Amino acid sequence: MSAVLAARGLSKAFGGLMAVAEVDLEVREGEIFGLIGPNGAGKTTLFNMFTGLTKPTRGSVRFLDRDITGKTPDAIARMGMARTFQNIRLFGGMSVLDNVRVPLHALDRAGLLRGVLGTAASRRHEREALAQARELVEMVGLGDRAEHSAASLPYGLRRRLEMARALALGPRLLLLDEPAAGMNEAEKDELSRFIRAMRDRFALTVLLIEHNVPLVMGLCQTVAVLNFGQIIAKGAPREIQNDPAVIEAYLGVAQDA
Amino acid sequence: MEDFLARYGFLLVTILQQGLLGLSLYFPLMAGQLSLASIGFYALGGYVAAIMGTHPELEALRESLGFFMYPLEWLAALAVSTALGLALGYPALRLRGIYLALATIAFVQIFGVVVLNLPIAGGAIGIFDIPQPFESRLAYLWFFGPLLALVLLFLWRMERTGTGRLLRAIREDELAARAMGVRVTARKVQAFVIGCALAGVVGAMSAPLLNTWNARQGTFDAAVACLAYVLIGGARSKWGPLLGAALLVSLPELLRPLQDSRMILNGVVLVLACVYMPRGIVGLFAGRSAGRQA
Repeated sequence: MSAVLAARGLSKAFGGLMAVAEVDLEVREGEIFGLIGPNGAGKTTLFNMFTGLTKPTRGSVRFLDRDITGKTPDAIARMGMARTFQNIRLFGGMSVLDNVRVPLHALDRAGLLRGVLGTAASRRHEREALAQARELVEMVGLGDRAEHSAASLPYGLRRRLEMARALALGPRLLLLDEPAAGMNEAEKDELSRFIRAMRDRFALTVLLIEHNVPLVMGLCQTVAVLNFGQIIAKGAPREIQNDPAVIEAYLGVAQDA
Repeated sequence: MEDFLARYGFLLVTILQQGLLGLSLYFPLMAGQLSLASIGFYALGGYVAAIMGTHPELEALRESLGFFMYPLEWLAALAVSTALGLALGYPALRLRGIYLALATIAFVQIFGVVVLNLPIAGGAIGIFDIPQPFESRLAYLWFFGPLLALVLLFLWRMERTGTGRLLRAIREDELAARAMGVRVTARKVQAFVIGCALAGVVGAMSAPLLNTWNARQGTFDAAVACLAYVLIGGARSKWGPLLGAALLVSLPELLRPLQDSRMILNGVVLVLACVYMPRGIVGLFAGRSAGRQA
């Protein structure tokens, strides 16, 4: 399997603080990769560097065998890297359907004049975007709320809508920032099934940040543990669980040792 | 009826003209960008039309074109405004919120000083004796009416197609729009330039109406008035700027019997409107879709 995403020596300093230091990471095609670590370990900063929202201080990011260091977030997104946000960032005043249509229009470069004049090409694009958006909205179970405003949805459904919107980019790599935040056990199980199903259906590679260790252990093929901006362990969930460095970072130092 | 039109014809034309200027601010606002540059482009378009209408070297062209000189002036104003809008938009739209508003106000002020010192713009006196196509001021509805219809049709189509949704997405959450592949800066510039071009054409149509054109056409006060149309009418609907212009242009006329105290009452109405109608007049009618406020 080849690497979809590869970080080399990736670092980010905020003033004197190294939020992320010398991170080397490879996410292979088709896997579900989990990134765990305590609060403030640098997980979201790492995500922001992958997606172009934060410029790395040092190091490089390769995506689909192309160097994307320093590319703009919108260009990276159009290359096929989609993300969700830890604190859910939907277009609140827009309908569920319109939220999902935005990335589809962005990919098409929706021409202003073509749209206003209603040329054949633009009408075809509008038709296809609508059909595609409807399909995605129905797939995440929001079919009966397609015309509701995104802000009117309850929390759990907003998470789903954000995922549908990310999938509309037709991504190769999907980055999920704490997708299970605020979910109960039943919802977490459902989320795991959903993520696997999406991976299989869209031939995705998934990289997720998660606090919930059992969820990550059950869902991911590879797990990396970040602590104080550094990767302290990397491997299959079983190896990670027994790694002393991880236990120390996560649970504190074992007292009886 | 004839009496009414004779009396209020100019008012009607002014409402359309000011409403169009309000709409020129609405375009960047669709992408959440508060620009006050419109009045500068209005002044620019007016100068283009005034110069083309009065310059001695263009006499032959005016003779041969007749009435069609006016559409040519509009097109020239459109082209010049678009070019300057692009040149201004790319650097200015890197700024956000109040800083963009300040930068565009700075542009309006600089433009005013530049034309004051430009020989071709007639200095402080400006340009006068601009040829007029119509005898009556009411007839200028033939200029502004079709333009307004065209702009509303344009907006109506735009809001229902991809570009409208992309602009709205930028207004809702710029960072999320970027992460969803939207070329945010290019889209903002696009919306801004359309507003500039519209203001330029409105200026070109207004020069014959006012008969003279000078540096007082593009003042800070006028820029604020345009913004007030949008704020009072409603910034989230294309009907907002029109309603706002209709109210604010006619209010001083309606209050005329009060003589000197009318401007005070005018101010009171503005303040009350801002306090009690934060989403403008249009917002009062849109109360049903309550979920959108969340």
